[in-house]
Amino acid sequence: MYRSLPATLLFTLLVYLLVTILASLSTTALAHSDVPFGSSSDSSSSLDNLLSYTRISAGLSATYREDTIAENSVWQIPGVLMGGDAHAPEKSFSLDDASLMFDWKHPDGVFAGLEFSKHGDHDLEMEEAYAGLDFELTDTLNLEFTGGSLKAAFSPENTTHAYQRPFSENDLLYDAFYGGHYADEGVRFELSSGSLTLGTEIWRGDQFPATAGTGGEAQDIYLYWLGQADTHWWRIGGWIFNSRGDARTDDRLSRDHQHGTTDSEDAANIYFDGAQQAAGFHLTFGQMLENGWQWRISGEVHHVRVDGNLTDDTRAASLEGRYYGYWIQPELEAGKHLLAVRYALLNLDNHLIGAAGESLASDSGLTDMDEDPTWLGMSYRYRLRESLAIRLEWTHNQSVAADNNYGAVGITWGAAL
Amino acid sequence: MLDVSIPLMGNLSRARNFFLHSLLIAVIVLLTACGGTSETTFDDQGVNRTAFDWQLPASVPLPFEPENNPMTEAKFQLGRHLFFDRRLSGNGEQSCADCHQQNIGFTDGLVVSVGSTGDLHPRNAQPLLNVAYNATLTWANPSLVTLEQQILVPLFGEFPVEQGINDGNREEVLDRLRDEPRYQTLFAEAYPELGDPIDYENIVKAIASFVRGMVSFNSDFDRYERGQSSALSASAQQGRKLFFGEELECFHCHGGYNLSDSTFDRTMTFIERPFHNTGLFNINGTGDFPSNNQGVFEITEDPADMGKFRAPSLRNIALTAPYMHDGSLVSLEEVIDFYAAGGRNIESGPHAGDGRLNPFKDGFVTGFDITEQEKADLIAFLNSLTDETFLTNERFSDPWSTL
Ligand code: HEC
Ligand code: HEC
Repeated sequence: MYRSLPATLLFTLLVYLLVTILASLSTTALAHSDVPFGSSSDSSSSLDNLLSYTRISAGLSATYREDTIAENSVWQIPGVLMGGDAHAPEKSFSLDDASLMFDWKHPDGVFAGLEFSKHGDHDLEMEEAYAGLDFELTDTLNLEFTGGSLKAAFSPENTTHAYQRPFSENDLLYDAFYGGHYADEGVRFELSSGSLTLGTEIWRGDQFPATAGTGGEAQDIYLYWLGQADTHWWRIGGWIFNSRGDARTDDRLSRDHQHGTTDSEDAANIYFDGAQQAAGFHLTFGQMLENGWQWRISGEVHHVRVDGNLTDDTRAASLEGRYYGYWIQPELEAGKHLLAVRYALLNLDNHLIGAAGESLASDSGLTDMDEDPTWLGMSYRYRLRESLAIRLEWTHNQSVAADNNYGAVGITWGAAL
Repeated sequence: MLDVSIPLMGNLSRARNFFLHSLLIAVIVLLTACGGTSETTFDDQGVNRTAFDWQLPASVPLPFEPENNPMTEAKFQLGRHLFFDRRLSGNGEQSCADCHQQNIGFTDGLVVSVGSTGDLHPRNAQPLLNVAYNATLTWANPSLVTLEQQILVPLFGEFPVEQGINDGNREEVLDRLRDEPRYQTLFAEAYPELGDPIDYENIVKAIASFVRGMVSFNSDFDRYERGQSSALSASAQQGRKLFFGEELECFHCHGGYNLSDSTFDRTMTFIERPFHNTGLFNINGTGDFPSNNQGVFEITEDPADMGKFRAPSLRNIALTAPYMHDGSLVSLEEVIDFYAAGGRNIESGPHAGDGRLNPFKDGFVTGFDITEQEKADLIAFLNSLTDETFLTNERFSDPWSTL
């Protein structure tokens, strides 16, 4: 049942270990600009600071999926309140993601960026619009300040696009805990010294699991160590994300307003007031093999605590959610071929106190389904050209009681223009 | 790649490798360290405690039980005898069951009810089913919130006289009951702690227990909502979509598990007691309703309450014609036409006026276009709300007929 405490201890221990070892290694500060992390690596370094650039890049992923879960209805993983942009993958042909990005940086450290994205049949959105300043505090210490509309940087997984990662579907843990991904208006301070990055972000709270305005807020703090030695490289780090929601409803329900059933009507009128505290640990470890092959393993462990009240027009109950989840993803890349497997699991314990506990749990989707929600995927990607690839996927999606196996075929394209 | 060659480097990279491997192992341990599967648990703080077997499906919350009249099977059984007993009326000619007949959903099939002495009630008899969940009782009275209060009305009411018990015949009525040997045991079982329990307080409490216990969720609609998709015909499923859709708006007032927005159960902390004007009248364009039937206005005298009535549960609606508080709509077709028009226009007579323009009319009654097929679908859905088992269930039937 309650394994959160020992795991949290272990997590703290790991972070502590990380910090001490980093301190002892700080003499061997490593540049990371050439680390093969794909295009998701956007954290700063003193090297970047020297450069100035104007970049336009774009990417796209489209997939034909044989089947999905939660077709034509709002996707609800039993046992966790959801919201934001956590949408079920679409059946048949769909646009997973199309993005256009502008980045600009001046030699004196001023920079700005814009990103437009479109997901599925949802409207085109401006995902990011920010400006910032990057300056050296000392020879080894760099400070970057960014403000605007941002994707949270507490984990590299929060910022990836479907055309960058091996899978067209979003990460189950982010769908469950961060509304798909956390993007909001806010400011970021990032301190980096060689291979170490310490950052904090303060948000307006206008995104699930937070709410904006009085009573709502979100902040996070993260620490990463990005390093390489001989043939291997790694990114290790963790974060703490704290948010509060005030009268939060499942915005997916009010947005895609439809009253197909009495249930979605009930669910749309349930409010959550309270806090969600999350902590996570990230690891990517990769190694270059002799023949130009490389393998990578990445994964995360998340812990989430939800404490608050659920109410609707007539009912009230308090909610204690103790959640735990992980995803792990081994990959093997050989020339034009990339083979990847991902397994994600959620362990969701809820305790509801009050007269309406049971009925509110059932209306808001907190009733358990007798097993842990899991997601297993396999992906094979073949690069036709530098920027263009085709992708075959097989998914065993057990995030809802009506689990499903399905195959998918798609294309990905990503390029600097 | 990396080109740092300080002497310490060898040691460091060994340390690092060791560290990374330990980390990997730690992560694997973390991943496999998970114990039981996801579980949602509850602490209802005792609200679901009851001495009564409600015989309800698990998905339905229990109705509220008043602290001074908790449910027991003995009171329920006594109440059932009293409900079906004409001796419980001034002239011995009318029981509750005369106006609330089981085979037609506990209504009387009349436009408006007739009391034991021939008085006409201004209103249509309401069906009794899941009455325990109503946030207020009767068509339009925000102050009647318990069955114990409401039952006094048919027993002792004078305007109109229903069962006609009054100061002149109170004792006579009680004596009739005392003479019935079955009541000796039934009262003793229901109120074992009292010496002489045959009095009106205990009669009312027992009848309230019976009416409160008249609950059932056994219609095709209920079976469908519980996941049995074959319980509704394709037409009824279409009708259900219309009913719960933004075009017809029915669900705003007739929504929830009891198909009324005036629903109350144990899980509720905040109680809502809404009333609505649906635009049945607009006498002389002033918003008025007929003087003997003005809804909540009769109680509050607030002009904004003119013509406001409780949205009734639509359970067993197919059996309980004629419809509305005054029984003025004879069929479900007429009811749908009424809503489609956005109210009722009465062109001549003392009640002439265009109800569609009633200034107090609810914003959800605005009219809509509906095809014949859609109308048939909606009626198929309304028919699926009938709970057949309730019409013959022995628990709610006349206990005297088997003597
Ligand atoms: C003369 C016919 C008549 C008799 C006899 C009668 N009722 Fe009724 N009942 C009605 C009418 C008419 C209404 C609607 C009253 C109103 O809105 O003012 C009603 C309403 C009710 C309601 C409210 C239902 C709801 O949904 O809020 C209950 C409960 C009820 N009656 C129970 C009883 C009981 C118990 C008895 C016997 C003690 C009884 N009735 C006797 C005609 C009758
Ligand atoms: C604004 C709230 C509201 C809406 C919307 C609404 N109703 Fe009603 N309904 C009521 C009220 C209030 C009454 C009782 C009115 C009266 O007697 O004056 C009623 C009565 C009825 C009755 C008669 C019940 C009986 O026991 O006599 C039926 C049937 C009915 N509605 C069906 C529907 C359908 C079908 C729709 C959608 C087309 C609908 N209602 C929309 C509030 C509403």
